[in-house]
Formats: sequence, structure tokens, C-alpha cells
Amino acid sequence: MSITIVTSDNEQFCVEKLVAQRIALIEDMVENAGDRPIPLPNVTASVLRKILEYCEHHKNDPLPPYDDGSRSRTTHISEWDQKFITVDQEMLFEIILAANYLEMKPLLYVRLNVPRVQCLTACNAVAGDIGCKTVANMIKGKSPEEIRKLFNIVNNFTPEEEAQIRKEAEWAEDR
Amino acid sequence: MPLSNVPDEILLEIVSHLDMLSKISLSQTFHAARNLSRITSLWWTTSDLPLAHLKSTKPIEDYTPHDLYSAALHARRATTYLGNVRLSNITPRETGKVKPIRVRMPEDSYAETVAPGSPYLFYLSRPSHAPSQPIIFCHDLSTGNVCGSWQLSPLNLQKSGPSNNLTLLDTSCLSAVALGHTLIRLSILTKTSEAWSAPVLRIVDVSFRDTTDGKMATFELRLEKQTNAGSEPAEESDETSSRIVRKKLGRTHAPVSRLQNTLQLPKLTYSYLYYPRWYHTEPDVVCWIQDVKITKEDSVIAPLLTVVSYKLGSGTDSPRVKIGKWTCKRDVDNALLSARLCTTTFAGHMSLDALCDLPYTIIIIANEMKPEVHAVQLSDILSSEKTPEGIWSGTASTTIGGQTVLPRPSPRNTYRSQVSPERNLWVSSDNSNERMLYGARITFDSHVECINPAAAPDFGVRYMAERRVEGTEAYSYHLRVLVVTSTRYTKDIADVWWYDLFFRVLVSRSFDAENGSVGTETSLYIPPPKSDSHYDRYVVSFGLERGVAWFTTMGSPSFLFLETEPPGPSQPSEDGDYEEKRIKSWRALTSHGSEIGHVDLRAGVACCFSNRLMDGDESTYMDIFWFRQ
Repeated sequence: MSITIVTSDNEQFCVEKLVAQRIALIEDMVENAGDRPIPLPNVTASVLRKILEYCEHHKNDPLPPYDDGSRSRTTHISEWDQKFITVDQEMLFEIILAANYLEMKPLLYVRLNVPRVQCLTACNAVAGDIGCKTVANMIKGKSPEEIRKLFNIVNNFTPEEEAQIRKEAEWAEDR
Repeated sequence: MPLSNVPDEILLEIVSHLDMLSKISLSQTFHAARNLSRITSLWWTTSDLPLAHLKSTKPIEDYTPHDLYSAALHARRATTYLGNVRLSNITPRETGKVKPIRVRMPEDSYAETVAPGSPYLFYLSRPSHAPSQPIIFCHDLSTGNVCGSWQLSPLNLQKSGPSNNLTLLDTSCLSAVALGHTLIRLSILTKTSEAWSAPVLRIVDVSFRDTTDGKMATFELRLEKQTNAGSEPAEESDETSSRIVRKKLGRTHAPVSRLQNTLQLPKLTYSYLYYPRWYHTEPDVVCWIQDVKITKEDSVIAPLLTVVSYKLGSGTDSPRVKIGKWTCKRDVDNALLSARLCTTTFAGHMSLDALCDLPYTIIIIANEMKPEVHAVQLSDILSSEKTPEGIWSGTASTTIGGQTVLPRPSPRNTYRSQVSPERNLWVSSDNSNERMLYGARITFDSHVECINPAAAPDFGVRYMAERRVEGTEAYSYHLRVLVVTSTRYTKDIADVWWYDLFFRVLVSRSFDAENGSVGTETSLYIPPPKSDSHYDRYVVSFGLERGVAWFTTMGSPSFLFLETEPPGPSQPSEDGDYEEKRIKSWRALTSHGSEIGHVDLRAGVACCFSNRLMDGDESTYMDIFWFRQ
């Protein structure tokens, strides 16, 4: 059985239900939509293609356990996932945002009647989690200036704030 | 989209994957990251700083990193603690088996071993009627039952090889490695008439087969075809070459295959070799260490590491064996000073968390003045075309400890070591009056750096963060040290302390590949938490995430297994005290004179051995404790 998904740029995807069920938002919408196509106004075709590639690969994986905050915070990414997430920075953030929007992980928690707020804290732990780990790996070992440059961050601190921050972090800096 | 525009919950997730120093860097880049790092800085608030020094008068969120840094600085100058769990009058809980399974051991049993992750304990027993033919026993630790026993055949080495008329005198070394869920490989090292300079190595595979009732696995001993290293294998059939005598003990099952693989190792040229210690094996690598006197007259003692890499032959193929021997270059003056107390220990593969992926064998040579750390990369022997032999070739060594531990009139240095998951080696020295913790960072470019001496008696180490300061040879470290303390007078009260150390090390890069020395500048010393404590026990296994177990030899000898729930240090109570956190603990009393055998913290099982007088006969018993259901 398959369902049809329509992206923000009006591209239609015919997706196997088992694959689509990895996406919590879609599973919720399938019940209400019946046979009608499911619109995803916040996801472009190129990003959905990547998300579905991930879901297809992981469709038989057990769903991740509920994250009570105690799960180990490693930045390890499996080989396949690493290849999957080797994309340019723009696509990387698009995937993270899409995973956030699609609430991919809470699928399990809705079934377990875990409160919604708890679901949201863990909602990035599928594709988004890989994305966040990738971003974290990019940040590691870099100076503030290097991080700003890498991610095109505008420094929005006042000079006074900056001086204060530098003082606070002095212990971790070079003498 | 720049990082600064992503929603907070995503930034939160990203920050949660960062180490402390990266969080600090990110928090300096833009407002949202700074605010979030304060919110998400659990590493500031609950577990990673010496909050006792903050005089908690305001919510932790109101402290700036500068305040916290000041506290950390204070911690550097004085004894501090992060978490302190006081366990008063420890009583066993209902859960967990605290009564041991008691097993009577056979006569003259010794050299026990458990393959990591396996519930089977193997040991050797030397029967009085045939001392050169030890029996292998296998105990199922879950029931205490003997599930198999086999007598090794006498070695027949006259047919080939240079060593004729060898008489087997002793078999003392046994180690095991799991090759799979149902297959365990044993390695047995046997002394011959050539003493320990020409030992015989036997490889035995043991397989377990599930029975139909699922209660117990059948036990199958497979001795590989008997042959000498580098010689043609014996031509007998498998059946005729077998000299296995199977004894009916417990539930034994007939061995299906009877093959034996015996490796006669070439004689070493060293004049005197002490007993091998810390016998260790991987599926196809076996190594052990012996102290060696260079000459009979010379008092210089050096460790000799022997590594045997083998590939078992099949059919008529002879086994391929590669043997490497390393000793280390000793400073003669220093060695003379230390010869009296020289002890050598392995450190590699000793840490629970670092199991199996540490490429080095670490050797610590203890002496009164300074311990030495030597690292040998085992892959050297595996990749080398020719047989490696020499003086720490391609490896490095260093003397660790920037401070000299003053010798005492009757010092009895004991050294224990831990390898942290990040491959930092920590060595604890205890000479009754001074307790020092040394750190050595093992790097992949084949050298060892000393980074810090501090103090800790019984300890576990979790290394939290490291940052090499760009453009310099400076490193910032955040190190967590767990210490267990108790006194002989209040033996039922134990404190578990978490130290968090923040320190910086300037490494003066004087690494000399020839002599293998690294100069360092270190300055941190933290005294033990209680100067009047008598440290009479040692931590036998450690895992900060899961708990800690230790074994006491004084007072009421006991194992104590602690499991925090949830994992991690205690939370401060309203009055800032840390003593409220309750952790699950199981205490198991053992007998006076017990010796520790095997502890597997992950599996929650521990064994100890003691001699007991029963019906007029003194026998050795093994007590098996299961701490976790």
C-alpha cells in the first residue's frame, strides 16, 4: 500500500506506507486524509527525497527508545548515515529543519502516550539527530571566530558583552 | 540558513552533543547560543563542577562561567568534591543475589580465567598423580555447576623440533577469549625443563552447543592437532593423536573434535626470567610479560614482552607463528635504584571501557622514585615482515610523574592503572604515606605523554574534555576522578567522591624517538580527601556510568557493588548537601583471607576464592556473587 505526498514545490511522491510511517507527522495525517494526497508545505522535493531515502534505508530498524535525557550523547554516526548526511551546509540544515517539522521520532512516543512536550524534546533524533551530530562535529575544536565563519554567523554581541564573555571563558583559552 | 537562525530546540540538540570546551566556544558566537548554553549547561549545574565551593545561595543558573571557573580554581588548590554519596550502615537490598553460590574447588586448582562476556569460568587443576597433565575445569557461573572437565595430554615434543626430552614442570598461565557466543578459545602456557625461557603454548577451542531443553549448553572441547611451531605436524589421525582423558564431573559432554595445537616457542637468550604475568590473549595473539635479569650478576631488571601471533593450521598445514620480543632500554642508574622494588604490570586492555580497541600494550615499571610507562603497539608484530625483536622498537616510553615520590623506610608501592575511553592511562601509586595519581596520555603517533600527577588512592577516571590550545603546546583538561574512601574504624561507612579537576598542561616537546623520553611541565597536586583515612581496600572494577565495585580485605571482607539510579552523581538537596542521593547497593561478605578472582561489572558477577576447613580437610572454595538480576 502506498500514499501520495505533495511537497511545497508541487512535486508528488508515491511512497510505500511502511516507509512513510517512519514519519510521525505523515502517519497522523494519513488517518484524516484518507486517499487524498498529503501536502507538506514546509518541505521541498529535494529535501523530501533525502528524507525518504533515509526512511527507506531504516524502514526495518526498531524505533528508537524514548529519550528521557539520559541517552548517551555520542557523536558517532554510522557509515551509511555518514554518507547520507554528506551534503552541503544548506541541505544539511534543510534536513534538520524538515526532520524537526516532520516529527520523525515521536512516532513511538505517541503510541506510548508520552506527553507531547516530551516528544518534542526528542524530535530530532532520527535524520535530525544525525544532522545535529554532524553540525556538532563541525563545531568541535573550533574557536568562536572559526565557528562564526563556518556557519556565516553575524556577531550580535556588543563590545562590552564580548569583553565580558571573553573574561568568563578565559580559563579555557590560551594564557 | 546560518546556524544562528535555527530554532532553539535544534540548537539545543546540537549543543547537547558538544563537549564542554566546544560549548564554551559556541556560546561566544551569538546571543542565542550563549543563552542556550546557560540553559543547557547541565555540565555546569549538576555534575561537572565542585559546587561545594559555590556556597549555593542562588540558583545555579545565576552563576556565570567566571564564578564557576573561580570555583574550579579553588578546587585546584584544595580538596574538593563534586558528588559525595555517603553510604551508612550499608545493608543488602532485597533485590540482587547477595548470598554467594559456593563451589568447592578441586585439589590444587589455579590459574582461573573468564573470557569477557562469557558466563563460564575456566581453571586449571594439577592432579597429584599427573602434575604435568593439568585438568581444565569449566564452571557455569550462573549455577556454579561444573559443566566440563578435561585432562590435557602430555606433550610429545621428541618427534620434531630442537627441544628433545622436555619435561613439563608447570602450567601456570591460562587465558580465554570469546570467539563468538558459543566458542571460547583458551591459551595455556606451560613451563618446560628449559624453565620459562622456552615455554609451550597450547591453544584449545571450547564450543558450547544449545541443548533442546535450553537450560544448559553442551560443552565441547576441541584440541587442535598437536604439532611444533615451524615443524611439520604430527601425522596421526585426529582420533589417534588425542590423549584427552575426560573425567565425569557434573554435566560433561563428549568432545566432538580432538585436535590440539601446541606451539613450542624458541628459547630466549636471557639468563633469567621471572614468572610470566598478565597473560593476555586475543583470538590470534597471545602475549605475556616477564621480568628479566640481563645477566646473572647484574641486578638490572627489565620487562620482556613476548607477543605470539599465530594462525592455526588446518588439515596438514602447519600453524604460522610469528613471535616478537621486546624489552625496554633501562637507565642503568635508575634501574639499579629501582631493581629492588621493580614490578611490572600490564595496563593495556584493563579498562572496562577501553576493552579490545586499545592498540597498545602498556607496561608500567614501578620503582621507588618514578614509575615508567612503556607502550608497545601490538600491530607492529602483526604488520612486520620479519620477526620483530628489540628494544621497544617503534614504540616509546617515558617516565611519568613530574614530582618525585619520596621513598619511605619501608615503602611498598602498589600500582594500579586504568585506561579511560579516550585512551588516557591513569596510574595510581600508593606507598602507604603518599598517594599519587599519574596520568599519561597515549597518542596515536606512538608516544606517551605525562600530563598530570595528582592524588587519589582507589580510583576510577573519566576524562571529560581536552582542548589543545592552538599554536601552543598547551592543553586544557577536565578530568573526573572517582575515589572510594572508608576507614578501618568505620568500615560500614564509605564515601564515594567525585573530583573534578580542571587543569592546564604545558608540554615541552622534548620527545626523543631514540631514547623515548618526553619532558613535561606539571604542577598539580591534590591531597587525599581525608588524611586520616586508612585505605585498606581497592577498587576492583569501575564504571562511572553504572557504578563501582570494590573488594575489601580488612575489617569485614566484602564486595560492594553500587549502582546509581539514575546513573551519575548525586543532585544537591535544598540545603546544598549531597548525601540524599540513594543508590542501589549490594554488599556481600566474604571470608577472611579471600582472594579476588573475577569481576565483571557489566554482567554484575564477581568471584572470590578462600580456603575453608570442612570436615577436617582444608579446601578451596569459590564464592560467586551475582549483583544484578
